Amino acid sequence: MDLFGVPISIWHSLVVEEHTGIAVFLIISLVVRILADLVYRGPNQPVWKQPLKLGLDFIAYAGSAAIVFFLIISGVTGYLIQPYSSLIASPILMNKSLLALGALFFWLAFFLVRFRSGPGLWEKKGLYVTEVITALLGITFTALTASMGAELMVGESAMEPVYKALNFSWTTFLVDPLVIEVTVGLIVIGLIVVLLFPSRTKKSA
Amino acid sequence: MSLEVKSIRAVRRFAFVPIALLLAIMLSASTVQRTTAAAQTITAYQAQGPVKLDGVVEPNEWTDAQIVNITTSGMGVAFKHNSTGLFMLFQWKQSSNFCKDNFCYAGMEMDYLNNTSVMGGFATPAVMMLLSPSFTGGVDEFISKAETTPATVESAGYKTQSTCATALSGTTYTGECYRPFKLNNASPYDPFPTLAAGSSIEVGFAVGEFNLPGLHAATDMSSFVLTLSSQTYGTGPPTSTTTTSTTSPSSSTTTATRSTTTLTLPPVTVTSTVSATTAPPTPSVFYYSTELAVIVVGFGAFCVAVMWRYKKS
Repeated sequence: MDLFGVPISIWHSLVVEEHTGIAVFLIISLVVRILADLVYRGPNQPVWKQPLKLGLDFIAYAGSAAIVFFLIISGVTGYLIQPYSSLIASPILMNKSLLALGALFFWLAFFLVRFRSGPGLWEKKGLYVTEVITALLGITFTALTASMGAELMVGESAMEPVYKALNFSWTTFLVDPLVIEVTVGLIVIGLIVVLLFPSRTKKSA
Repeated sequence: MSLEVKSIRAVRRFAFVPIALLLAIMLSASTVQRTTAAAQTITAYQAQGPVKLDGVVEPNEWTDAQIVNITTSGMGVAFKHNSTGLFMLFQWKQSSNFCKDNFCYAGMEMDYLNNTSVMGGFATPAVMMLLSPSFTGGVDEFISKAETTPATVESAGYKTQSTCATALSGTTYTGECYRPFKLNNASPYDPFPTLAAGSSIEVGFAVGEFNLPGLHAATDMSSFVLTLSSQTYGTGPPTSTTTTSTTSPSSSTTTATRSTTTLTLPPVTVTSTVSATTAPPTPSVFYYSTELAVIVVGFGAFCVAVMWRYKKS
């Protein structure tokens, strides 16, 4: 299938480059924010820190919106490359779809948390940590999806040494009840931590 | 000044960032290429004798070609060419894993140099030539786009270019093929038009079973390169031959009157890898949907819980 005379697979590659690149840039901005917050603590803050934080907040906010947009476009183009019938018959394509949808969800969650909480979220430790965890899950799912795309397109990916060391292959891995149970377990642990963690604001009030 | 106003100002101040970012990403977009430095070269020498396409290795018929044993696929292969096309010999054995019935197949995939994708890529599909007793005429050609089910060239409106004859003798299949250099309504992904003396293409070899989709033993596309040579192989066959190689393989019934020893292909060792001998199970859509639902609902609840605690406090 062609779009404006260009094969749909090329369009898919292009939009994947977009959201992957933006996700990497967003993660770098988060690392800069974390380092700045760790190094410059206390009442005496350098004058440049506030504009830096505002800029980094913009990168996180706009970047996550752009990632969500490009992930949706890459999902559509990916679906046009592979019909549903061949998608559900191939483990690697099913794994790629699951991880791509997971990545979309995490980046959407990142964007929505920022949207709901406003720029002040970085001043609240719990929300700050939640955003960092969400971004790390988002970039992990994005990277794993991209590695499968590279395996399909060029026959190899940069993650290959890791997969070889772990004796793991996406062409044989399948989601089974055990994987679902492990996921449920992790989420339950996360919820318990959130609900039981003492609220500092409450205590100080 | 409120944080919200500061944020809006920062948005304006850094508005160039996403634009610059997008431009940088688009400019840096590059394709990944692999070299074929480690690839083993299989040379197709100038044919000195004709080939009778009957699936039987006649005495001296392939002594003018380099015989290569592909252990991964359990095949013996040989190539030679005349001025009009390429002659190919494939020999493989029945095994407990593959080729127990008529749905057995073996063959070769071809692509331009440096494409190296296993079974081709979406952007650079490979052309497969498969021999199987289940095919009408014993051969069919496919367009392969990565690890998905290849489509026949006919389904894309093109023609199969190879002519083959395959025969089973005991437990050994022998396929003899001819493929012209000048193609007729061939797939645009076909690398053959680039073939000339001194040029090379990537090739891969596979043996499998159509009855068990996904079950096959294959080399990857970075292992072998097929090179055409204008020279003859080794010392060459005896000179007393009546060579009338034909351009039409269907009529290539010319016989040679050479009198040398019978050709013996090296023994084919079936050493299929574990992954190739076990059919991958089919993914369950239900489990995948459940997993995704668990992630979305669970992590969504996690985020909501965090925000709820701050709202409460």
